[in-house]
Amino acid sequence: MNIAAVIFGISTAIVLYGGLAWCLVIAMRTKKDSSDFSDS
Amino acid sequence: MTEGRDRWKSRYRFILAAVGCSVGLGNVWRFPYVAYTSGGGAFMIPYLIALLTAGIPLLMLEFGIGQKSQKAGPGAMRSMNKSMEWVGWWGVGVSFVIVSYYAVIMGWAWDYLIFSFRQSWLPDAGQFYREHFLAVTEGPADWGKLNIPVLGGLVATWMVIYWILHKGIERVGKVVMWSVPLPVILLVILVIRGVTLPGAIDGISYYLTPDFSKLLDPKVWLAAYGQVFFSVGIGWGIMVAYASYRPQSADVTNSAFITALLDGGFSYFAGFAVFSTVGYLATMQGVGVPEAVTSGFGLAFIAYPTAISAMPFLSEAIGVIFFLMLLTLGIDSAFAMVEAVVAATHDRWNISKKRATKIICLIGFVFGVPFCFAGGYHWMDIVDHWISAWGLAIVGLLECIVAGWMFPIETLREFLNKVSDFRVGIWWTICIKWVTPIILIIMIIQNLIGEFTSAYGGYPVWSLMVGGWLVTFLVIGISVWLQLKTPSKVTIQKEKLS
Repeated sequence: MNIAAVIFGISTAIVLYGGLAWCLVIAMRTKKDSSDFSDS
Repeated sequence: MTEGRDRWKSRYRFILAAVGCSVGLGNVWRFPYVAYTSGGGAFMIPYLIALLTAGIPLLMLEFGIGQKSQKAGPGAMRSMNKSMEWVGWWGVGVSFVIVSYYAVIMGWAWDYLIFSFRQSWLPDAGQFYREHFLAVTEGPADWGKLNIPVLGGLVATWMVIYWILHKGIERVGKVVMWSVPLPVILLVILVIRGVTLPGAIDGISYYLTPDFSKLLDPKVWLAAYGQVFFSVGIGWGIMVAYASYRPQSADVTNSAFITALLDGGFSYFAGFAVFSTVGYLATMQGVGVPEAVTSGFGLAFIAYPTAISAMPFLSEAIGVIFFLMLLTLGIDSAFAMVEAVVAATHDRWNISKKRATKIICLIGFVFGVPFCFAGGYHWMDIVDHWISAWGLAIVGLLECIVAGWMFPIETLREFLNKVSDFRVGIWWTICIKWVTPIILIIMIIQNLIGEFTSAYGGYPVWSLMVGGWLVTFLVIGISVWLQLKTPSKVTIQKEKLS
């Protein structure tokens, strides 16, 4: 596989999954909604 | 009016349900192919920009109006502008038309799940699919015979949809706890199996190698926006209905980001399963990856079964896993579309959701039966083309116009910022008022030019008039009629949305 494919593959994964992880961390840390993640 | 409304038990379940709606068959059989033909790795640049400027802002809009109005699509549109309720009905109508044939495709997946135990498609999956399984007729004028296995699959699909929906949103919440993670697990298995096959790296290389020259082609940018728009599930009235089951004070913006990123993340990952398998297929057949690659039905029901049968071991198990994944992917989207109709019906006529579910499922099944005939394949193709090209694009445009130009959108932004995990700036308003509508107008003009320069799929003009224009105008006509029949009293005043 060529180097450009590897670089773009990894960069896309970082943006998509890194962005997702960041949003999930915010959701878990937000006081108002933290309990909202566990079933009542 | 909000008393007694169903509620999600947690934000987790709401997001899973929204993701289940977004992530469907298209994520597996459309995204990887569009990415490959639109610049490979370089396609991710317009795709991510489209996600940020259209997909996520529109999701925030739909979550926001559903949550604030506590109404499904039509009621939510009415709460923004009382003369625009029909736009909401249009979205609901589009969902209903789509689910009527989407359930038939799921019926095919049921049949293929059974076929995969014995690999009934051997020796030629293409011939089996066209001549034995579907026995497609010459054209739309020839309906042919009713395909009993497909009808059986359709019955199974509607029974599952009814079973999930008739107990209300609580059961939906329980179902998505496994129906959304399960296809992800199955996809991981398929990726692991795919990348360990000979030729897999060649396939993945084709998928990811960037072709930057494609970024100068406007069609690639339109393809990115089209992919985002149709994949995230906006304009169908589903996200509005789902959000209406959340308390008004719940987060909007972060939930929209999570939903859209999970949808994009799944599509991207699915590309590895598809292209590793296509790379293997190309190696086995001694052809190049471009000759082996395909999309849509051809990928799911011909290329993938062919590759599965050529696998040295575990081929039956991989076949079962693949079609089980398609079924679990499809069912979330299917019942979400039905729920959009049920919720709107419940809000409009105040009939119980159980009864509404029964009626809608029955009508949906009846509408699906014509697609089970041998000639139904042509009609499915025609209706799908029109409803995607016109129904969804125009309803998305109208939604932006109503929210951005016929309603004080800044009050909605204030609402989002008040309830959400993080604030959105003026960029959100610009996306709703300008960016998304302009892109959609360009897409619609492009479709219009295509429509008048060549007959879609080489079908006779009369069939395009019936399956395309008639269905589209029927949906619009019924939407406007429902608007006119709605009592003039406004259920939710504009001030309540601010």
